[in-house]
Amino acid sequence: MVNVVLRSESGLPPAGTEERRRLACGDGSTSTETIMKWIHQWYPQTLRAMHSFGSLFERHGGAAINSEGVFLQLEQTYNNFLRHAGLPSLSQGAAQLGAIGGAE
Amino acid sequence: MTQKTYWHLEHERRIPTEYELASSKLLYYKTHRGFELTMPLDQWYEQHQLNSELQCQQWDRFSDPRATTYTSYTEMQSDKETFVDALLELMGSSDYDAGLNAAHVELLEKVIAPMRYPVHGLQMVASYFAHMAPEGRITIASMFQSLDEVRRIQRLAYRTRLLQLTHPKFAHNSQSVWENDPMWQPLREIIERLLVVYDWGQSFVVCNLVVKPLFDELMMVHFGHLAKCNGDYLLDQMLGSLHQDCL
Repeated sequence: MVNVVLRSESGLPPAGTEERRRLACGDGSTSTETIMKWIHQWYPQTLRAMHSFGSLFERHGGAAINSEGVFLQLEQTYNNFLRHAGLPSLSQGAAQLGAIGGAE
Repeated sequence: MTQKTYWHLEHERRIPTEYELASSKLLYYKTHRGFELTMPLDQWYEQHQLNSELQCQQWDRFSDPRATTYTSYTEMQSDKETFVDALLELMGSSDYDAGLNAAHVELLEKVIAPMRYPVHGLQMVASYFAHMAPEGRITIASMFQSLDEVRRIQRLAYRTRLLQLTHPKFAHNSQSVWENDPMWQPLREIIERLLVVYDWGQSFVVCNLVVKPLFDELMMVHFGHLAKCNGDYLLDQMLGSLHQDCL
């Protein structure tokens, strides 16, 4: 997958991301806001789509798996993914939502 | 003085790498400020590429740190394919599938076989933003992403066929499951909406920063773990290999 990393104002990618394929948009454009707007537009419905698979983990996972744990882990992994991409985590992103607008 | 074939990379003041040679300035229409012929395609690119909401003054600053070329891609995938071939051979040549419990086979029928459809959607989305991308190196990386999805479809189909050898009625209705099972419908709506996002930037961002990270993690990692808990440890390993393509 092509990973998107936004350069910080210093022009350097976030630490630990050097080995990833990256798409740098550090030219002072409004890319971050645009990207976060789209993430906020699409994330809730996509997450709901993932939750619709919850019953699989409830019915078939036995004692070893519970769907609550699966989705908690899924959201944590996703926030780490955003952080590595140089984007605000979703809770931080939500705070900016008012400024960006356009979210569901 | 004779002009070198890599004159456009001379400013680097060193011999270019294979990746730089193979990937630089590939989109001829960018250099020539448009296509040679006036066609409806021009308007499409103007609207959905040039006027994308996602703007960057220097797309050519993107460089794949893995410096993936077609040669290195096929070499890298060859090792993974050898590994998955061995897993599938093991599944097919032993009584592995006969040993899976009925509830798990039912689960595979609901998940593994219909999964070909959303993955095919993701492959088409990747192909779309690959050819719409404003820079050749993004096109190349995106095409490799599309190829990864083809690999995933092919392996899921192969696994489905193997299960049919032991369970003849397995997945006879997977298209219907994809189109009607309530579990799949929210994802189907997302994939179908994503397929008609024509702004290349939005298509790229929504696919790679929202849908794929969540879908890949849930299906390749968590579902793999679920399969392992049900005794299907070879499927877990196969999905693990396919997940490497998603990182």
